[in-house]
Amino acid sequence: MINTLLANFAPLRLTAILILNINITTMENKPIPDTKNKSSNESDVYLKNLRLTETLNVNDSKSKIRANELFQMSNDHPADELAGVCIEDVHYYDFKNVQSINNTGLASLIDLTKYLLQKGLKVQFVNVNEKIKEKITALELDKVLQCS
Amino acid sequence: MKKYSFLFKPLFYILSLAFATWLVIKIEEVRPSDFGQTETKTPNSRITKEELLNRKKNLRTLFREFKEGKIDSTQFDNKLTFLLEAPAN
Amino acid sequence: MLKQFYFNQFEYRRPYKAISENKYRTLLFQFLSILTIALGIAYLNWRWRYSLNLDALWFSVPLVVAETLSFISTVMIIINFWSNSDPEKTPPIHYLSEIEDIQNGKDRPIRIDIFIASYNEDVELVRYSIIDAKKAIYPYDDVHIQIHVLDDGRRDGRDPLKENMKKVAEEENVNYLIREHNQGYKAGNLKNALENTNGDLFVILDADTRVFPEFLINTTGYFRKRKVAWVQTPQWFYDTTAPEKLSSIINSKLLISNKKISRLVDFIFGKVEINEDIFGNEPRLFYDVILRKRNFHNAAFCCGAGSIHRREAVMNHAIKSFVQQIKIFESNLSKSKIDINELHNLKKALLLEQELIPFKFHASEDIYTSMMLHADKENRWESIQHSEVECKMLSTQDVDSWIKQHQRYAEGSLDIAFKDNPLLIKGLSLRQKICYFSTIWSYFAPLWILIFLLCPIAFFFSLSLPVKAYSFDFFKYFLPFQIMNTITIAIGCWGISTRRGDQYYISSFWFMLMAIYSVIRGKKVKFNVTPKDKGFAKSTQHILPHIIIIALSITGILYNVYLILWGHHPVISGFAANTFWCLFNITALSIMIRAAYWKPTEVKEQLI
Repeated sequence: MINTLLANFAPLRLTAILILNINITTMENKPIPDTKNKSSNESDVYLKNLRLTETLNVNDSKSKIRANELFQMSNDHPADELAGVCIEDVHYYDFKNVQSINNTGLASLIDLTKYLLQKGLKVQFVNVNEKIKEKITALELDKVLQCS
Repeated sequence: MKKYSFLFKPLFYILSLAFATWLVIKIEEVRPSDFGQTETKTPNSRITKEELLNRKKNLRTLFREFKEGKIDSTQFDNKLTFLLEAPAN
Repeated sequence: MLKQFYFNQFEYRRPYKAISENKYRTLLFQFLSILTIALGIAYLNWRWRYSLNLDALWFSVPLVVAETLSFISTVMIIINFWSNSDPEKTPPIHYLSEIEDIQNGKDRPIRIDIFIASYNEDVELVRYSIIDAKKAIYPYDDVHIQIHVLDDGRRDGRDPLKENMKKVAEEENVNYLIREHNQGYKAGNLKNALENTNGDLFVILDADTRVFPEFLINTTGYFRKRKVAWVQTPQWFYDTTAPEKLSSIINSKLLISNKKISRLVDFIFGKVEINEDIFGNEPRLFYDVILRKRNFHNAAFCCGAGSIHRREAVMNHAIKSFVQQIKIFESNLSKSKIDINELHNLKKALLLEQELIPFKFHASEDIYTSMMLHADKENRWESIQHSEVECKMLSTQDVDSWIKQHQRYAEGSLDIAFKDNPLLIKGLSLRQKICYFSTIWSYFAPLWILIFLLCPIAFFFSLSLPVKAYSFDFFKYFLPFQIMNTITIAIGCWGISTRRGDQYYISSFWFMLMAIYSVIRGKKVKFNVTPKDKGFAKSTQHILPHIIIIALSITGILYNVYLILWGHHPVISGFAANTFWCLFNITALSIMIRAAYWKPTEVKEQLI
């Protein structure tokens, strides 16, 4: 099945969920992890954008989530994006390092969900913290954005 | 002066209203018309005390004139009809 | 070298200073307002109960109904003008944490986007707006200010017959955004812009809106208050017609070449100036009084150009609308008996079809979206009408364009009245409901204005009076109310002339009637881009009703004069009263006729 998947989404190199080295501060204001210390796999496959199909435009804002939209980053950095992995028609995004989200960010998630749904893919946001889940629930987006 | 030029229009309007009112009243004095003469017949219209007194006074004058013979029965009848149909002056 | 336009001659003009607040004047206004309302109620009570001419109910009843509806307008205006509440001005924003709760996230300088929406305007005209936007100053160098031209005309060079807006944007080093359709008109254009930008605050400008350098400095500070969703600045038209000496017009129209006669005319009429703002474009009364006083009620709505918005507010609204639409559809679906697979497919289709729409797709997207934001019970968004002029724009230069623009406003607002009446929207406070409704109510004014215009004509030809009363009770009730009303409005609009506004209020009756008819018929409200170029179209079709009413009025007056001269007129006083009334109507109606035929004289414009 994985082979089929890779064949269908040839540009995708990932075989595991990418955890981006996002330029954020944690709750405890710890320093930003150094991207250079990432594994070679991650630096090889680290992408600025998602290439889901051959028609995807590299600047297509619907296909990527810029993390700085979610929690107001101080600068634009290629690392400040969330890539995803597609497994069995479900696209996963890891929110492990995302501590908060604003309305603009939620709008991005909705747009992304719709965009991928158009391509026949579902979206799942994993490791979403309670605060973000509360916000999503408060806006009644829990039926639209699948979080776990 | 230009600072207060915005007041020209409202002042002009008020003065025009006042002038129009004065003119209408003057015209009515010179050439009275039905305007203001006919009683509005509504269920809620009430005769004021002043109007009642006026009417009473007019009727008293009419009866005295008839009694004194200053007017005959036809004149009396016509005036009585007029007084009863018209509002008190 | 920039392309020269007609408005280059007005570059020297500077905007007005906002009228300063005065609490004593406000108190006086409130006192007079209460008197006005009391006198108005007394007048109407007497009108309905004691003054109807039962022999001419066809005349009496429409007039008293018109007076009653007009009085409702007066009451709503008084509520609108009740008090002033200018917000405190604060220094401009530097960091995001000043305007948003970043929840221990890393702080950063804010980003501001400036959107210049364009469609078919001359690209060189838009260049002026771009250049002025680039001149906007900000005290913090690390605040990123990005200018974007939103070109709904897709003038990127693909069509050699069209001008190239993209080239101008590139020359001016600003961003250029297009979309491949025009869905949603300007609202859709803004939606596309928001999807492709990331400013925390964004400014909306029209193609001809030229911001002053301090625009951002004077407006961003308001957003420190987390509830503030947008700030609207007054739209100021710097190209309104200048006053012309009556003597110059007489000399040029009558082709007076004799110097002595010319000097005589100048001596007699030289001090009289006419045709100032002949198209009634000056919106100072609206922005400096009506909208500004709505700060007190938190009901100042967005008017599009010259406004600055909090992205979070519009995105929040977009998400809520999105969810609301899905919920409605899902509840409809759940009522119908569909199998699970089909239901799932339908839900998926709905999700795909439903869009995040920050600004309602509507011809009056600004007021509609403002209403929805104000009605957000959870967030309780606030709006601010900034008092000082921070940008300048071009006005319509002929009656045809003026009417198209105002008809769009009318149709848009009336459409809102029928589809989403503010009186029925949950979430709006009572004062907000009244303020929004008063805007919409004003577009129903032609219904009673028409009666006021036709009443004197009806008297002149029927010789029936709409009023009968004991003695002169009419003036006893009418005069104090009218005088008090006039004084109250003058105090409420202190410092601003309402003459042109009043004239156009009456003169606009025809196209506004057409707007009502159009909306009632269910005709879709179109978004017509207002031409920004100067044209002198003789708009006879627009002024035909005015000419007819004036002609009938004059004919009526002449007919009554004839009757008076022959001693057959039953009520000369009524003739006097109605003639005065008629003269007011004719003066008001004539402004649009003059505007339709207006052209600038050869005489050079005087410097202000």
